Amino acid sequence: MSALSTTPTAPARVSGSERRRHAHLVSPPGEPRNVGYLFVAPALVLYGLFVLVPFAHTIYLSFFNWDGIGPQRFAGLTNFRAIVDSGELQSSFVHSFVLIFFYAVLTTLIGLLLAGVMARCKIRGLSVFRAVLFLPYVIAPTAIAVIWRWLLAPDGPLNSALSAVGLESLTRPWLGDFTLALPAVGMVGTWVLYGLAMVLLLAGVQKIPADLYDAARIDGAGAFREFLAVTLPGLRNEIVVVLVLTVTAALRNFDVIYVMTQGGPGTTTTVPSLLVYDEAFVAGSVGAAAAIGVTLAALIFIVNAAVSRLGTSS
Amino acid sequence: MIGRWERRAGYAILVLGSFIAALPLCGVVLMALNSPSDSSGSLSVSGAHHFSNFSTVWQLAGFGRSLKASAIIAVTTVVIALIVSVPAGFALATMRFRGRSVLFYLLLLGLLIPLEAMIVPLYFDMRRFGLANDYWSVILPDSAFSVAFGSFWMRAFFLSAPRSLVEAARLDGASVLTTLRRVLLPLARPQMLTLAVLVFVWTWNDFLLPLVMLSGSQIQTAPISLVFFQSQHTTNYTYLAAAALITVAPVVLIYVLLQRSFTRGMLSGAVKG
Amino acid sequence: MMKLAKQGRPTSKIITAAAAAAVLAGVTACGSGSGSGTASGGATTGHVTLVVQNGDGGETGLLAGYAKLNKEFEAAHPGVTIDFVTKNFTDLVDTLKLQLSGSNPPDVTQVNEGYSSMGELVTDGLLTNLDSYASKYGWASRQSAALLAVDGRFSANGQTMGTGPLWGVAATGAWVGLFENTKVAKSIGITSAPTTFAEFEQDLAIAKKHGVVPLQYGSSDGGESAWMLATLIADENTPQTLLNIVDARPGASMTSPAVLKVADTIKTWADDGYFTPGWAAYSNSDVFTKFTDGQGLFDLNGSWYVPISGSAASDIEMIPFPAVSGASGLAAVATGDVAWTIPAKSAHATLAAEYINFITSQAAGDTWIASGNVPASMPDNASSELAAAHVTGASAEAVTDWQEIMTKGTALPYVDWSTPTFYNTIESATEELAGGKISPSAYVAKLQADYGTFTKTRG
Repeated sequence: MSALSTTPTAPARVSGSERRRHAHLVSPPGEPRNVGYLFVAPALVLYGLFVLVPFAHTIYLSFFNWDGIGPQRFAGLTNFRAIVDSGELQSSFVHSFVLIFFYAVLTTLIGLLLAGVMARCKIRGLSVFRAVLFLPYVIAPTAIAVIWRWLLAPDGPLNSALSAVGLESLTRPWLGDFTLALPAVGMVGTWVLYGLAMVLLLAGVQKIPADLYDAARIDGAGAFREFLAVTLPGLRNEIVVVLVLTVTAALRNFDVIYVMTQGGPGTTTTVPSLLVYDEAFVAGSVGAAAAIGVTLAALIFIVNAAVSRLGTSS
Repeated sequence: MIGRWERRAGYAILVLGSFIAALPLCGVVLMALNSPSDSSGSLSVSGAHHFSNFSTVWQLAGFGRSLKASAIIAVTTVVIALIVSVPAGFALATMRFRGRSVLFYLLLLGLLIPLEAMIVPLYFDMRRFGLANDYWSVILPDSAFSVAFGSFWMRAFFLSAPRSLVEAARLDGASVLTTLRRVLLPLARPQMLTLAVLVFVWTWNDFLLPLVMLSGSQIQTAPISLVFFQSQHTTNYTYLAAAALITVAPVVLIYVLLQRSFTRGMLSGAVKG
Repeated sequence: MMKLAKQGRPTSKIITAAAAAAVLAGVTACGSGSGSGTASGGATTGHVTLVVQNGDGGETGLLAGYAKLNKEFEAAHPGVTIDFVTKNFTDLVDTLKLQLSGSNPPDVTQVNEGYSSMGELVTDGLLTNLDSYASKYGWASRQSAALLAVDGRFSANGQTMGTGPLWGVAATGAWVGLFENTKVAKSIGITSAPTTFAEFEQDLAIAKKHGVVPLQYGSSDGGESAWMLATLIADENTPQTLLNIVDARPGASMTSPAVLKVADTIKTWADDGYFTPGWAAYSNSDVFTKFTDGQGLFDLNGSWYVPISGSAASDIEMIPFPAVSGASGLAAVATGDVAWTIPAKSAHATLAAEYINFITSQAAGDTWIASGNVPASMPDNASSELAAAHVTGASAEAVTDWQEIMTKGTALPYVDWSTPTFYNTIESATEELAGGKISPSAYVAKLQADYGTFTKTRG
């Protein structure tokens, strides 16, 4: 099949629209396009019934006052106006954006580094490394929160280690500090997610044809050049997926914050999902919870659309 | 060629990353093995020999039942997610049909919707379907959410799969289905396995959905058993750590087992002449 | 990612058709839960399983007590098996409403006191009125009217706490007091426990001077902040001040001078360094563990911690928090633990009532004392029971002081019961106050924003 080896398609160089036009030219005449509907039908039905319908229900509820059991009273835009009026809600969204830096940006960078290293070098014991690095992601959030609360305690291991190497002045009550608690939570998120990023990126690295690497090396490219020229472009799709997942994790983060800080100290680590939970289960206002949730979903959507755009524009 | 120093630097980075990942977990293991009466969560290596903590925790929190429940839910969800996402991702990536972009964005929504906001309406919708307090009340929503990511993820793969292969198969007269099955699926092994592991992890660790959906039944899942040791007033860290390890063990096992297939996929993946 | 160029118009036809079909299917599907409850009227003929749900996950002492009582109940009622379902407290509270509105609720369940839990369940008609059982079994002679009221009375529309029909009864109780490490006290020259507020503050200063943590305090879970606020409101003023606030008497307000005084106190204590270093990073149980290992002079916490474990356990005693002026008798925040109720849709209401009657009886009180708990219905022979069960020290004080509070003193409710969201508000605001981020007047204003809004809606 010599035709294949003379056209090594570096996936990233061919733009999407080009590929599509090309496909159209070579598909046999009369190929039923409607088979596409068949392929997506199961997904659509499942997803529609168990995600879209309840979500539409949620949007509907955001215009009502409801305690979950009793009568639903129409409330118009009251719930949404409460979001605009509440300083606490607004700062919770700001906190989410801070977390995006740690959960998404930092994580992806570290993941790229790790995946890049694994792609380039023939590492012995690769599967061991991969297993260990992925472990943090696998652990239930409650357990993560408990572990890190202990690690970051004022007299916990982190501070003890700092003192032991003479950096006592750097010790802090991390989760009890009004300024440092949010970054601390962010770092925990990075710790949890960088293994995931690495695994996802690795799955993508495996797709990159080895001859591309060989070609680069023959050209005399060093590690960094090779990374920029071969690995990074080949991972474009995966990077977007990683970013989408981690950004969403940052914006939806609930379990870890709930167990680790409960939004404290004060209100410095509150996030919208925590407030949604409080409204739905503590205050008994399902409508208000729905409104915050809908706003959060809209926000997440906008941010991720922006992220996807970044992925396409190059 | 890759220099020796480069390789050493590579190893160093990996070792550092692994160390940072593993160290806190070693802490949990130590915590789990400490004396149960010392519930403060402090650590001592010498005191870490109470292996009986695991059986105590197993009994107290009813892990036998909850692990089984979690397994049923997670495995079923993974199977459904795979069966449904692969064709959907394929269609979204390679076929042109009207409404494709709308569908894609709709599915994307599933990644972004916070569950906490819609859980109460979801519960009542489940009740109306007659499914509340049943395993399906957890499996179906979990599958639906997984399908959102799954389609997205498989689509990403199919988009960057070498067109040359597909074209060659088409030139040979293969139908779409055959192309998918014979040509692309073998290539997609790493992606599919990754998807399976991720869906398994998410479903296994999911806390809020099973809590609410199964609240009227006696069924409890593993993460719910985990928080058994956080009472209204106190937290028994030793038992909590042991419970966390029991909860995590199956997922780690699955990952380690499937990992071997990852490697096989990697070696056979590239397009060679 | 592929740029999605102008692909056909969004064909929502297929999608809407699918969605419509789905909704139709959903609406017309007959909804039957996976119920298996036998609909017997509670008669003990034939085999009956009584489903008893509690939120005491992790409380080994309480669970041991229930295990014993359940066996006794089964022995006394042949043919009855108790299915004792234990949940984590928060999980129970969060899902109670959904659970009780379904078709297969438990026969007996614990319900948290307060507006957001019991109040809403009463409003939605999900609980059974227990007044008839109370008079039938004579519960009024076991627990004081005040205790019954604070634990289980709600007006029929769920709007007012503490009056109206009885919906729940507690089996065990707990109160908030001051724990003192007598060994540490002696080592810094304090020979007796403080009996007035002024003495307490003096002791705090002495401890600080000697480099001992004066008051162990951890704020991250909010509990200790709420107890401290309630206790100080009562003890820096009078018990009635706290009662007025929780019952929302006319004129009760968080911005009153009475409460402002408390805010000033908390801030002063924080500024003077009387709290645990790094207190914002600890929960109340974290610091209590430090305390029971010998660090610190005092800890403000509840009797739920007895029996105490920890290396300094034998040095620790529990006393009521000292008041400013000797109020008539003892006063402390003291209520029942989570209350037992009968869901409105319970399949075995009569049997459920018998069960509740059994676990709240004075005979059961002996079991509670022996398993190291404080019974809500105090048996007459409490002291001999304590001796027989070899319960001493703080554990014994927990029981005897409770008895005194109930019979001779004033039992007070938790201030965070005043509104459904008050606990969270107090939690974050107190951290900001003690952390120097807001002033005392801003603090009480924040509290009032929550309190005022809610009490207005109650009407």
